[in-house]
Amino acid sequence: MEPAVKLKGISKYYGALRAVHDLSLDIFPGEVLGFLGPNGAGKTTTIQILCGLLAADEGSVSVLGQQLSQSPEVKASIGLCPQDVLIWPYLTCYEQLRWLGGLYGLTAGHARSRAEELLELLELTPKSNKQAKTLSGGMKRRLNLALALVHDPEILVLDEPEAGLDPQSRVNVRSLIKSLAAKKTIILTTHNMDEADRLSDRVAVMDHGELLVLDTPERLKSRVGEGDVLELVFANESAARRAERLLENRFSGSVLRDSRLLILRSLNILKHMPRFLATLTDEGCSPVESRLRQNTLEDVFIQLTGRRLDE
Amino acid sequence: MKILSVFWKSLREQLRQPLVLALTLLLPACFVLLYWMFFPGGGSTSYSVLIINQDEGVVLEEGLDLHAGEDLIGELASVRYQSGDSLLSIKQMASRPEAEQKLRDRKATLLLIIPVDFSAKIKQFTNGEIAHPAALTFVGDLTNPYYSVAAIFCSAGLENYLQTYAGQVSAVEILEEALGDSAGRSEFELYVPGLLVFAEVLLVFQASMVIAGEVEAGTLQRIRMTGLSSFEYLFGTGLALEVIGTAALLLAFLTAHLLGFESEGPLLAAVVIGAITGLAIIGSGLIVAALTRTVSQAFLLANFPLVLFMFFTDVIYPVPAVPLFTIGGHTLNLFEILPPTHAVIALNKIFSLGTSFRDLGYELSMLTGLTILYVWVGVFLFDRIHIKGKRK
Repeated sequence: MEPAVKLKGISKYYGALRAVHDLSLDIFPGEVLGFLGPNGAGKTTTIQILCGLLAADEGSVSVLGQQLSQSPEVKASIGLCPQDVLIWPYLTCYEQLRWLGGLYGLTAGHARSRAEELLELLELTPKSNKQAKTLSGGMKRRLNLALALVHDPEILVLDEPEAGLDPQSRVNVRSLIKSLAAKKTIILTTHNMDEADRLSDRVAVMDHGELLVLDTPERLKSRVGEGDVLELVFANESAARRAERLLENRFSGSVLRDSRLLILRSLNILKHMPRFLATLTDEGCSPVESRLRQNTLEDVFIQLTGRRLDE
Repeated sequence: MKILSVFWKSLREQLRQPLVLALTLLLPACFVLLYWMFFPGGGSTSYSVLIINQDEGVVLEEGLDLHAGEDLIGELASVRYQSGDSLLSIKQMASRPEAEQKLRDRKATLLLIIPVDFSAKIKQFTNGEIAHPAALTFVGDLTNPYYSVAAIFCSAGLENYLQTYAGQVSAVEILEEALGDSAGRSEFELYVPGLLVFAEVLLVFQASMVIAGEVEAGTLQRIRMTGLSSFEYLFGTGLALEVIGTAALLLAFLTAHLLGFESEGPLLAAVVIGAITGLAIIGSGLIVAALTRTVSQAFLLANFPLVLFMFFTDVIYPVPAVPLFTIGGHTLNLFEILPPTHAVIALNKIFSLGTSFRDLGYELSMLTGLTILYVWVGVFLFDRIHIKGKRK
């Protein structure tokens, strides 16, 4: 299958800073690709290159089979929902959707109906004739998303689409992304592992401008280890370190420590849990908190980089 | 079509920012009103002259009294503008220290001291007797720009008095022929062309801030994604600004007209000159916007062209010529590279001399050429810095 977006050997430098290094990636039609990485990983730079807003120092980008550098008009097949809210404060919601639709070449009638459709879809119809500056933060974010969809692009780039949304709007946006995923290629950058896990067909993990892994969420999580995860939180770092030493000799699964947190991963960990806790209590280093959960993409990130995503 | 779409969008946005709009639309009209108030009734300056009349008078052979000092004061009080307004505002004083204090405080322009023997000297002169001339004293602060004007008019008044009362015949008669309606123009009216150009000059703030606002808000990024060219975007936005600039110009003109200002030439020609000037100012606003990233930066930097356009182009007051080179018999001056220079000259010619379009060839072609240059530089810089430069 011909990729909808093909990044080949992309590098971008800001002086001595290497923002993206030799990134190659194929994104296929109808796929939801999640971009994961901490701040400064190179996600936004990659997206800007992909959207034609920034030129790569090395490498090439092709969109729908056309080289972006040679056919800049192909940019119009991409819809970008940026992380920052980019709206026109003195235009009403309806006016800006209609106006932007017109710039993308929609006929007046089509731009009108598309604006109404998106306002309805994102529950902004009651605010249709209000200037954008009067909207609440969540509404502005929804309008930001609507502007990315106004020309019904084949490729949708969503940079942190859930950031700043209230829980209800988050659920709605998530279901909208799912419904769009059936018809469009979606590239999603996020800090939110849960969001990436739920929505993405494949996940690309980036750090320091490099692509670390690219695979389905299930395969990535299985790389970390099968089974469940037990998280034990200790009162201080020395207690956690002591517990780490004690459990290393008695535990067959993996043990990972992050400051006061000890992460134990093993099949049927629930069965061993009473024994671990008894050992730790006997040795005078009981955890102050314990949590049982399944593997997440966060674990993948910690294993790949040795640190948490939000550090 | 896309230009028109950008035009409507931009016009709508600007109309929804009442404070900025009011500043652009009303400030020039307020300045017109202010200048009208500077000159009584929108007329001309009346120079305040203090007089200490020490003249004791004499009795003529016919038994009549001659009080030449009082006659001279009457003559000075009758010096008038063509409009009939008094040129000199005369006030008699008794004490020299008190009069000098008024000069120091700039509450008066000139002090004229008429000597004790003024009538006696005039009498001797009319009788053909050889006498030392009467010593009239002008006292004033020579750094006061009004002093020399007042001194000239007092001298002219004295000259008239000597011709009328003392029968002095001058070897030379000066005939003044005013061009167009220039003699009938009040001082207020002389400032109106500059104030109308000022209406357009103020657009530099609006132009630079509107475009820098789009950069700062990041919405330019969305526009770039649509494939809209820099020219289409800037031209559409510029047209909206042009409408506002022309409205400000017309409002300022209407204010001036209601305060008694009349144009000798066609108003349409003045509007066209104003509109072209507006485009040139918008071009300079684009240059400012290209060099800035935020509205506050644009506001600060826009003061630079504002000062240039206001104080180096005859908008506020005449500036000396700084010749650069001569081409085709015309010497190009340094400040002619600033479009308002030509606009002020053209508007003066239209309003005071009744000049039509046909006779504004030089000003019109310079103004148009400079406008194209300013707009081109603005679009070029904006495209390089905010469109192509962003991709670097």
